[in-house]
Amino acid sequence: MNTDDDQIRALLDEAVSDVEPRRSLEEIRSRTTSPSRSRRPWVWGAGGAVLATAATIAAIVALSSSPGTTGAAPGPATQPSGPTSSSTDRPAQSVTAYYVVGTKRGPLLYPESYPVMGDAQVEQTVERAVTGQADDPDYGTLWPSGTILQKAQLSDGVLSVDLGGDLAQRPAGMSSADAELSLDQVIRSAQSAFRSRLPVTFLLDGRPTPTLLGLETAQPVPGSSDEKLSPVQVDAPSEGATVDSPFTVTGRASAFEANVQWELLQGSTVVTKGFGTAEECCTLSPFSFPIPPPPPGAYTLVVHDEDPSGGEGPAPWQDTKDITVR
Amino acid sequence: MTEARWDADAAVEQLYASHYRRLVRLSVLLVRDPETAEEVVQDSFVAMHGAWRTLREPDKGLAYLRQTVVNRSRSVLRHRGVQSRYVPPVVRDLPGADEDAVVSERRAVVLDAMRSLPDRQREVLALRYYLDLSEADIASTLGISRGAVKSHASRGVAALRSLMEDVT
Repeated sequence: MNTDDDQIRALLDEAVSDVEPRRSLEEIRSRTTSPSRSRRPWVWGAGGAVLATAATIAAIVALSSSPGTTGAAPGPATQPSGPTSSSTDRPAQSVTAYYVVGTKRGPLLYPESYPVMGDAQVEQTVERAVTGQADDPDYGTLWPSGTILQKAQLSDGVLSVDLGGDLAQRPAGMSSADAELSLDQVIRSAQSAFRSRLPVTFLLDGRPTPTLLGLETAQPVPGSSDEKLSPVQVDAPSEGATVDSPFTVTGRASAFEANVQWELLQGSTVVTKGFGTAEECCTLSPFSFPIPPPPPGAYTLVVHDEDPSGGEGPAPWQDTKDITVR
Repeated sequence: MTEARWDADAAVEQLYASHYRRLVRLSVLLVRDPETAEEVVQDSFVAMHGAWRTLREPDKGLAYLRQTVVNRSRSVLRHRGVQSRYVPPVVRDLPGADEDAVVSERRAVVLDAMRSLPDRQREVLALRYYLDLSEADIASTLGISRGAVKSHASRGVAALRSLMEDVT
């Protein structure tokens, strides 16, 4: 805290200190009417001030300090639905951000999909990828801490991603393979977000940049082949999902003889396991298989390709999701 | 925060009573137009009512409201195509200009400057300096990393300063 901060604080405070919204609780209520409602009559005070008891006010956490809210609130980031927004928000769809996961054979890209209702959330998909904000805690990013997304857009046939940070040269400790993977991560995420296969024009702080992470970016950069994608990817259920029993696992795998194995774990205990098959062998192709109903509870779902060690060693390629079965 | 067990209607009423005005003002810092801000916040309360079943606690309800207000403010700017065009303030050095005029001029300059910032910088500044949220809370509200919050904040402060040289 310093005088600079205090000055900005004072300026912002003053800038809106004359804003006195009209009362609109009744309007909000009229849009949330539920049939079974018992409520004491509300009392309006003079000048539109709401009368509420000190006790009920005290029960509410202060707006400026909110301990315990650091966990993401469910809903609003990805599902800002509401009656009046239907005219401006596009219908629900799904977009995919790609993240880097370290594996025993080096880092690979894993997809994570989100429902998207509006344009802001489309751009946010790219931002999540760059800043590594995946729901799955195993997923991350290699972009340096402090890297920001200035803007991502598809405009006039140009798919562009504008980043901010000290990013022209490759940071110490980053290999050129990691740099390529990082660009590919953003390219794939942007292509999914904007439903385009165009190569990506990279900008740095709003200007074209001859290099990014030490790689040539003067021209638009196309995505790479699928070899950097994880050979086993679970699309559903998603990380943290609550599913009804029985449920179906879907994803993509490139597996020997198209065999895909799965286990449901509680801690390190295998509660149940089985296998399914992808549509094709040895290339990334979809799989979908039902899981026989397990008892309700919290599980870790592990999906992996065939284990050459016969169950003794760790699986070579896998994706895991923490889920709750109800 | 487990002592309060409100239903969705009660949650709307209580959070409205304690936070409605502040959330509208937050939205004004983001979208500038007070009527648009009121719509954004009303919509957010309606959405919070719908989501209350999964929230159930006042602080989660408030976090949801904050996040929804920021997201909707951003959406509304895009959809309405209200492009920010920074117009340098007319420097008035009128002798005898009264205090009110000075303040209202300063308000306009600050709001114009905020509107001309990139979305994320504007959002981070509003959450940090108007709501006084911690870096961690800003990160979770915006769904970005703490490192990104830091970057946006320092860029935003620098940009705001240069836009407001005349009033600071």
